[in-house]
Amino acid sequence: MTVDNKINSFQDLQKKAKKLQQQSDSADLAFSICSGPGCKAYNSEDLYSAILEEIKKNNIKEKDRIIVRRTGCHGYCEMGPIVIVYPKDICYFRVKKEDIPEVFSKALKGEVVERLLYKDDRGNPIIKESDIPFYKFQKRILLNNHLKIDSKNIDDYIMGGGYQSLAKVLREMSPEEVIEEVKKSGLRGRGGGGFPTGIKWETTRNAKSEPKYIIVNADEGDPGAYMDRGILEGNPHSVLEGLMIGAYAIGSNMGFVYVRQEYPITVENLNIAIDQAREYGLIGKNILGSGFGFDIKVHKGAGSYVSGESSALTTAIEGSVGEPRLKYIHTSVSGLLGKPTNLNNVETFANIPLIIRNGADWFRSMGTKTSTGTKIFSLVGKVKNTGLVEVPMGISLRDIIYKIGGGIKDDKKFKAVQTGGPSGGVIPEQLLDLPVDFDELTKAGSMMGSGGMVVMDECSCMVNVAHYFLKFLADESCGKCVPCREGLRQMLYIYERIMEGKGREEDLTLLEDLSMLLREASLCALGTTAPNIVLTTLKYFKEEYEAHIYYNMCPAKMCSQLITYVIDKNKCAGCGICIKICPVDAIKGESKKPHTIDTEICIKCGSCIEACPEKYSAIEKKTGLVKEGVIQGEKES
Amino acid sequence: MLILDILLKSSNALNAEELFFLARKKQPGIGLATIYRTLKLLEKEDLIIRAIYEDDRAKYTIKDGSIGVLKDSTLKPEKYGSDKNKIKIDTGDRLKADFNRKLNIIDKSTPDDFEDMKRINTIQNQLTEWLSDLDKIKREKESVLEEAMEDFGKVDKIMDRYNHEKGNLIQILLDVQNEYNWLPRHILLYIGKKMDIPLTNIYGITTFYKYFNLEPQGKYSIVACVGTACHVRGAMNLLQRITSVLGVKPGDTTGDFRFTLKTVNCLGCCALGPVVMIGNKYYSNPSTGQLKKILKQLS
Repeated sequence: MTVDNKINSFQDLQKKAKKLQQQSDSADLAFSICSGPGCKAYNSEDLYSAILEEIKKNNIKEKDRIIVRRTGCHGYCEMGPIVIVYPKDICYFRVKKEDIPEVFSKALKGEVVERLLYKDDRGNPIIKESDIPFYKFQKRILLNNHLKIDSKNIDDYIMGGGYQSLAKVLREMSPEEVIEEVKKSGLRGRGGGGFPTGIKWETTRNAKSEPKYIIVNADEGDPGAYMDRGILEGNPHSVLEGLMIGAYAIGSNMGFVYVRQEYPITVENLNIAIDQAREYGLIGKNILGSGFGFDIKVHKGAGSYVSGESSALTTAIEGSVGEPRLKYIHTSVSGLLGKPTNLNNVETFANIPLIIRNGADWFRSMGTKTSTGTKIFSLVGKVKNTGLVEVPMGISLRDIIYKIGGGIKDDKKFKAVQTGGPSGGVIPEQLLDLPVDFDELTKAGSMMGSGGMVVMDECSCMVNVAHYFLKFLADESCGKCVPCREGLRQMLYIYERIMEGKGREEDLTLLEDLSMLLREASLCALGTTAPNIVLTTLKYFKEEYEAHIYYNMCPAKMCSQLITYVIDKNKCAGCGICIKICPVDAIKGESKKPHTIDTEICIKCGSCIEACPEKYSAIEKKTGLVKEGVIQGEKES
Repeated sequence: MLILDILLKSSNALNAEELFFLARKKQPGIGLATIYRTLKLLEKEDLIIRAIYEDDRAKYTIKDGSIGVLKDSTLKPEKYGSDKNKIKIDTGDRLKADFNRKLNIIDKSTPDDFEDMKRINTIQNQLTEWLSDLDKIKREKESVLEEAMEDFGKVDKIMDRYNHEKGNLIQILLDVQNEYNWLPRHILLYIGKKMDIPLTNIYGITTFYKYFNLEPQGKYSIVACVGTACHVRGAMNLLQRITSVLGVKPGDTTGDFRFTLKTVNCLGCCALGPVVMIGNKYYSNPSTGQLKKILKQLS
């Protein structure tokens, strides 16, 4: 580390960006390998080392001729690992280690490896990422930069104009002007609540206490959502820049990043980013010669969902148990250590530099009137194309699921989409044309949340899904207030009863009553939003509840107490594969004769269904309670 | 009983925490509360006394009178029908009854009993055995203390890194856990004392946050994701398969301390669901056969 690295003025920053751009332009080739969580699971690290090996093998010594970047998530995790070759923007999917030599040698010649390209419905290969349907319908203002940025290298960010917005703010704008600009852009908090960011900043700025703190909330606890992880791992500097602009606007000199320790790569990348920014003098005293000083600390969370709530998060940073408190005074006025504290989500901060650079009007041009800009969703569950998608607000759910997501996996029937994590609800097919923005989703009984979008097909039981979320919330409830602690537990008992086929007629009204109670009386948002899933499933899928209660049936064949695995005697060829695979030895039978499943022993793990060769598909799930070998489809009288 | 045994074999008086230390070496599951309870009981039964006070803590030793009883009874095992030269008493009542019995017998015994030279030889043999045992215990105790000192050194370094600030307690605990894979009690006690935080506060935090383990973990952790995306893609079936292969429930460790099975609400790679992380690698929906293979490779 030398002093030379410091960027001392605005001019220095621009010079540096230009120099880096020239360097990059002079390179012949650049590889971007996705190192997002999805691709990493597919061993994308091996690809990186394989490319470096190829460079060595081919005796290419000039370091700058070929650039290899390990980038953040590209979004299209279903097709990982992804490798992009520049300058031609050739996009390869599902690359294996063995493919690298071919990819490399062809890239040197400027040729394309056709078999690794994306194929459209008719089998025509598509070279550029932006032409692929998954990307074509998206509006990627936050995620697009990921492709050209090595998340461990600050230079890549600066090259693309990074930290220029901070420079602009420090040089040209007063804090009030910054807040005005953000207010004008209509940016709303991306963490779930959708509170206007500009107003939040203003409240903190006007609070009459010093010092002030600013916090990045990266405690992404929603199961099924990984947008924040995608941003922080892919482009951590954009969040840091947004954080510093925010700090300047509210008048704070100390910031925290609260990040889950379950994301070790995120913590690592973030720490590297902070160290590099500090080395360049972009964090510390007298940033860019402006006199403004700022420092950042990383605080790792230790696994608690409720700690993502603002008042709970501040107590967690203080080093105690992260429980929420009553918020008659907002954290903006009295938060961390009793001082005014501004909390924003990762995605919110990542939007800030773009708003400053391109202006509020540009930001307003995307999205709807009340919800501006874009939003990242993690599109997961039973869709063909899973991954991170960034779309303008106001797009319809149908477009997201069918155009970008490519429809339902295995061409099954769509049933519902669950948005907003555990606090959200489910949206049925008849509401699929709903435009996605904060207010519309709330009207439908769900919410935007942080952006989880779990698609469910006909094989998902709504009672089971609601039970799943309630169980999650009951586990994560801190236990401070009674409605949430006891209410959730009682609701959970009722659900268990229904799933076992012992549901009672009055259970449905009881669930509704409890839901209303929770909504009215809970202390924090965990409790008040918990009933969303109950109420929406009850509203849109009442017949499923009734099937469980009156007929002991699980229409989706998911509740294990209500299903039995049966072997079709006519189809079974007696191959014995299922006997071998069954972990509890419940399947019996001689070879070449139809087997049978002992329902007493069967633990309903589903191993046999997967193991049964497709040409036979002899094992079936049947629903309704089995008594004396007969499946009873109707309630006993 | 274990505690009596330790006290008996220790040359000097011990306080409750030292005892806890030694006892845990032999019986890992023992808690500090058990030690206090037993000490109270033994004191009531007049078998041990509070010898000295050091740092406001009582140190216990075997009461003079009872030492003879104990030592004699250990020396003459055959004669009095006890088959081992260690005293094993499980409950308070049995302890009392047993000692009363032994006291009676000793009162009735006469020096004639020692005339048999063979018997004296065996007694001598046992005595040497017992002495070497004592040495071993002493060495063991020293090594345990050494180990503990080493632990404390490491923890000191971690605490230094965070300037002993109370606000950084969670970060310190996280680092300690990364070092040891779990949070041993003596370290928590030490942190509490050094940072002037009551142990109950530390336990409040360690039990509130899910990441902390208060029990030793297996060598490899198997983390099954039960997040929403994995759930709708069949995470429960996968979990069933894993439990049946491993034979332990989520949250438990296999008997050989090789694997600990855990569940997590999201691993952040929802696109691959259902996912399980074994060691450091992610696997997407492995079948029973694949699971067995993976686990075999790790052992």
